[in-house]
Amino acid sequence: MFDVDYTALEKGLELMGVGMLGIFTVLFLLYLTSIFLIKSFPQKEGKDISE
Amino acid sequence: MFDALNELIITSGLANLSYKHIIMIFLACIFLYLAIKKGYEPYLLLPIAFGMLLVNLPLANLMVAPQNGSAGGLLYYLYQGTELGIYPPLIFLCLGSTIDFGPLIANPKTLLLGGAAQVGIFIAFFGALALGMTPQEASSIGIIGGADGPTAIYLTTQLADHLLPIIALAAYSYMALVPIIQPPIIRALTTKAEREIKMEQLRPVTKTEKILFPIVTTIFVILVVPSSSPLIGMLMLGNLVKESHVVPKITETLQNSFMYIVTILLGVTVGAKANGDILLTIETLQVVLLGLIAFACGTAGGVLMGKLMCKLTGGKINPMIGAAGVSAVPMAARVVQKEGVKANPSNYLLMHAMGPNVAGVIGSAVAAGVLLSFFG
Repeated sequence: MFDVDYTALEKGLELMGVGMLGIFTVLFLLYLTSIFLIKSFPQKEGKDISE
Repeated sequence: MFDALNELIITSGLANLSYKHIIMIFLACIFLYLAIKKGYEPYLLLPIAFGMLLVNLPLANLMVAPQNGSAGGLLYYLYQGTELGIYPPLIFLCLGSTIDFGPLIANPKTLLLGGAAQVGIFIAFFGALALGMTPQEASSIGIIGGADGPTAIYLTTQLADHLLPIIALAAYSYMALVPIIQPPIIRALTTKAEREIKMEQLRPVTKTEKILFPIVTTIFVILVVPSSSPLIGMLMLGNLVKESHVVPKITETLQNSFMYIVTILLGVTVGAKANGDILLTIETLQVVLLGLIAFACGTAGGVLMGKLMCKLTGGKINPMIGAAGVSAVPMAARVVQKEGVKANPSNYLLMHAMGPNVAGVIGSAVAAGVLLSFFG
């Protein structure tokens, strides 16, 4: 019933994997960046977002 | 006299009205009703619906390109801002000036939730490929799962312009339906005990961290995915303007008047692309259905990642906050808050859900950049 192009699907799966890997790579880099920010600028007593 | 009258009738819009025009005018009126009476995403649905109405009135020629030295239609010129990818990044500029990345910086693990929720984009992309669509069309449909209207519009104008009106309508419709679509998925994938989990209060975030975050994010994200630069660059510029506190008047303008000006231009020009030949097709139904799958899978992906993180942290993370990773700021976070209160009236998850929520904005812009680099 369906004219399935298996080559396209295979390519699609590959892109899906690469795409998610790309997103996680970027977000993981941001995670490391945030950790670096937390370590570099520790919270001082009495200082908060509003300051 | 009869000749003149005949000429007047022939050149009137009424004489040129086809059944497609009538259906589209009817559809535009339904959207206007939903925007005005029901309040569904009125800031965008109202101009989109009015643009649809204008362009489907025969002989109005508002979208006609300039020919033989004569000027084009008004909406044709305004549409250039959409077609050339100008309005969506400008919306991101305004959005950046309203976003608070504090909850994300305070709990950076939530970035992973924003990433996992993008899986819906690629599942719908895969589904669209299986239905025989081109990779460019599949990418534009998949991005609906990012639940981010400007990103969906930006990517579609770059890859599959002909699908623009239906993708914009589907994206904004599903965003308006977040409170209806997400709760059943959240409840189906979580236990009552998980929904009751109370999370520790977030640590305060310093001004220095908030100023450095957009700068560092811009550098890292654009270095890795350069094609996401229009969206990420504008988002982070807007955020830096806000967090620097040195240009309060610009911040105020971005958060108010400028945002509404760009919104109405974007809305009316997207609506103006919706003519009967484009919307009344089987392909439209496929887009709507795949968009819903993308959205639902994105929500499920975020919740499942939340469950994994809940297990790994020994029950310190409420898995429901993963649902906010689909973007749709701040609606998805509000849905999580509401569900949290339902499970445990003393539960306050809003700020915790804002972390994955803003991570989802970055995630969907990165996903758009990845798809653009593949097929742009």
